[in-house]
Amino acid sequence: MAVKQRHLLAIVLVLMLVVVTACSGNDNGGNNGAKADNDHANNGAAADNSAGNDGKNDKPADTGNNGGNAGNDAAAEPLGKYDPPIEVSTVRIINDTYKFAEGDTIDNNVWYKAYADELGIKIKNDWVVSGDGVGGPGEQKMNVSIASGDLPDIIPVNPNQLQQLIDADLVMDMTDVFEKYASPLTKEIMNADGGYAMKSASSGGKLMALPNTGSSMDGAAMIWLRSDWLKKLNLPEPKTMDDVYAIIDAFTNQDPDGNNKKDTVGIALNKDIMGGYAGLDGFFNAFHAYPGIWFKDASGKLVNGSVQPETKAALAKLAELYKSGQIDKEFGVKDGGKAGESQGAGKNGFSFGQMWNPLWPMVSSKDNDPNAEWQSYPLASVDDQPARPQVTLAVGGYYAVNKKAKHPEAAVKLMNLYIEKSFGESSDPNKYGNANGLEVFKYAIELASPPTKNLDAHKAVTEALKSGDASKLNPEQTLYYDKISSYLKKENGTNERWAYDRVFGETGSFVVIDKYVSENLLMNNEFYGAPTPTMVSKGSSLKKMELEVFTKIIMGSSPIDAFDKFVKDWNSVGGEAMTKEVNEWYQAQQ
Amino acid sequence: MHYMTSSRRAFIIFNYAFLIGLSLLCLLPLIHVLALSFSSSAAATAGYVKFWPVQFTTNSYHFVLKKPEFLASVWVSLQRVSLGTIVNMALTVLLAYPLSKEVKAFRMRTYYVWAFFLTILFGGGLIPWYMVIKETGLLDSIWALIIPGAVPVFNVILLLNFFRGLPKELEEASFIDGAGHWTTMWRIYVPLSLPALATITLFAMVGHWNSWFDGLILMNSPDHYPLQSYLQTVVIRRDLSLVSQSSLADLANVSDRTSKAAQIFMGALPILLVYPFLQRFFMKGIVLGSVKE
Repeated sequence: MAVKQRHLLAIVLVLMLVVVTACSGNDNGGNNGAKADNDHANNGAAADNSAGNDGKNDKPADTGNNGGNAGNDAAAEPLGKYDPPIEVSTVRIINDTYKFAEGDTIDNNVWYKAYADELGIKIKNDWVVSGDGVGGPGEQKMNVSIASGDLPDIIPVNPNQLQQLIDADLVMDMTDVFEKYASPLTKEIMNADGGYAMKSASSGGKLMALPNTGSSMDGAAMIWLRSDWLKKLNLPEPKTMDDVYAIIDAFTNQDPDGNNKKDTVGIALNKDIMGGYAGLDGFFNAFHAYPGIWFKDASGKLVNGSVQPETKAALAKLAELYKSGQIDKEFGVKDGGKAGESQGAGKNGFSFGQMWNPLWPMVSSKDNDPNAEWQSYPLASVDDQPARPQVTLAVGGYYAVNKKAKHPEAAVKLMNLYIEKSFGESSDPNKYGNANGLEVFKYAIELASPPTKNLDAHKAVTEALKSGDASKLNPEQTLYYDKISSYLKKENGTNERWAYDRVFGETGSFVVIDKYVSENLLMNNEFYGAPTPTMVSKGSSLKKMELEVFTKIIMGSSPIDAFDKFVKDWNSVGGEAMTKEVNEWYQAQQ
Repeated sequence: MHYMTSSRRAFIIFNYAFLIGLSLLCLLPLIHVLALSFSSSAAATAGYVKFWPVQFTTNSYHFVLKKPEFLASVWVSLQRVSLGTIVNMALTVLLAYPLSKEVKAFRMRTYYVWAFFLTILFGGGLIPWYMVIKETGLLDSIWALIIPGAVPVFNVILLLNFFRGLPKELEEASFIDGAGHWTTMWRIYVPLSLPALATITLFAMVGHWNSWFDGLILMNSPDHYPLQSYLQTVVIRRDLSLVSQSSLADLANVSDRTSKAAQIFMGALPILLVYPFLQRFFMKGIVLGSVKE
């Protein structure tokens, strides 16, 4: 027996030796960087230097010059091709709006072919799950994968999961890899929001994942109202909060729908009070209150907007409005969809909302009443200071790289390709963006978009509508243009075209966002890091307490002074610790 | 009973009112969903629909029947229910029979019963459960939905008690006539237990039809989802706070209440149809199983 075992050992050792020599033989070329990054961070930096000009200077000019080099060197370029091809595994969280052309699937489609043909990266989906909602199937399946250590090379995660992966030391430090392999355009787009998104993906100054950057400005609050009612009741446009109160009062009490019954709702509101359709973000912002976000106070420290005196003032006014019947009496039990019913039925004509509200749910009021007309306005303010809409970091998710991945740079190159094909000079959105009415861009594994994508679309579409020249529009913009011009020409069609006009058209909601941006009014959430320990342990109960107290104050079942007790409780339950942690984090960022 | 005291009458009236109220509570949501599924989308979004369709249309059913994912998941569910129920029933009978014997006949009986009973009280937890299934190579196959739950211990205990309630004399007679345990089980016990078997068959079928979580976690592609897992992905509310991330066109789908309603209703329909046929065994089965001699 012992002899047999010794033989086996010898054979295994010989085999290992063969494998090791064979593999290191392959590593001579441009794979140096990749190999080094698998080692300790120090060695990685050294290897970067030794890799010479491929490594540090990734200017476009270099890309051109090195194009003629041998296969393996090309792999070191931001968009270079692996030869022989490599395989990278990932997992996909999709939803039921993904539609595929005949023969395409989530495992084999135009993007996956581009990855293979142009980058030499073969993608393998370990699993695909449908349902990308918060707490939905995708999140649960990912949690199980993380807990069981069953992770692919590229891991799409949310902020909490990213923090878990970092704590468990399962993800790779991407700082050097990103620096070396990201194309200039990728770097530009990923930092276009002032670096917030990239910082949110970092831990201790190290980049731990690639963020799916989006647009925070698109979430800014605004006023939506029925302009046909405004005309009918002869009211002024909402320039100040007094105008706003007058409009709400009239929309409640002066029978705007003309059925001789007092059955209209002044302000539509959903049970979460903030966010979604018919939240009150805009109302609070009008009072210079910013519940739920962290901002710098006069002393330069970060404070939470939920517990500031301005919030109390806004709540007091809301309680007054509720008492006089100007806020939906049943808001406490209505989610966004339910809250949207009253406007759909023509019983509500005023809400605080976002730029996308016409697409949902306001299009239903147009369906039920062709005379319904909605107009957006910038937030009014209670004093002479302009109201600043609060916005929060818009990252659709993070792409972390497994520490065991053989080619971490592949993650960066996939991102390069997405950004190049979508927004670069060689972009081909007809093939990779919206092809034949299918949103093929969703098939890509890694996405990111510049924050001004929709705002730019609004400007370009408006310009094209004026000049009648749509030739310069990209496919996405053309889609909006076609719908809007069809609506403006009064052709037959769905009211969806009207909704696009309300968003991207000449008087659409992006006019409001354009004003916020150009006057620099957006109020950023200054905390964009991973959730702090107290946030993880106490955050949800603090949020629940906040919602409960705010709801009670608005509905009048608690006096307004309950707010002072709430501030005290909030601090003692964990708010104070949270504030401390957030400020420590803030110091570290400076 | 010709005469009814007034208190008896009051009790009956109250009883009927209470039971009717309770059944309405269960029935009305279903009717609401049915009404929604036959209404126009605009009417549904405006909240006009209560218990009768508004602007009657069968559009949502046309839409759903053309949806390949829906039909594929129905097929997976049918497979799962038929395979799963057969496996469940076979193992339940095979396990309940020996465990129903006296300690005299089967010395370790009590320990075995406790060993099985403990699995009702304690589970390994989600992650170990997942890892066992993954390491045994079941992931992403229909068997992942069947084998981990192949022995429904609660059903075994029901059937076990039912077996014990049968007269011992039958078993003794059977042995005297030269039958072994297999024959006794199949030719004596199983035919005598049809009501109990019908009941737990229904339990097994409904259990397989309704469970959705294992489908989500254990299947690696949406094509392999059973119906209820698929419905879960359709019905769950989309997060609108990051709407700029996904395309704005997705918003059009949010108001898709009518097609959601159609899918929910069609998902509930098959099991609704099975109930009336098996229900008459239902009460009888459980009551008989719980009474011992």
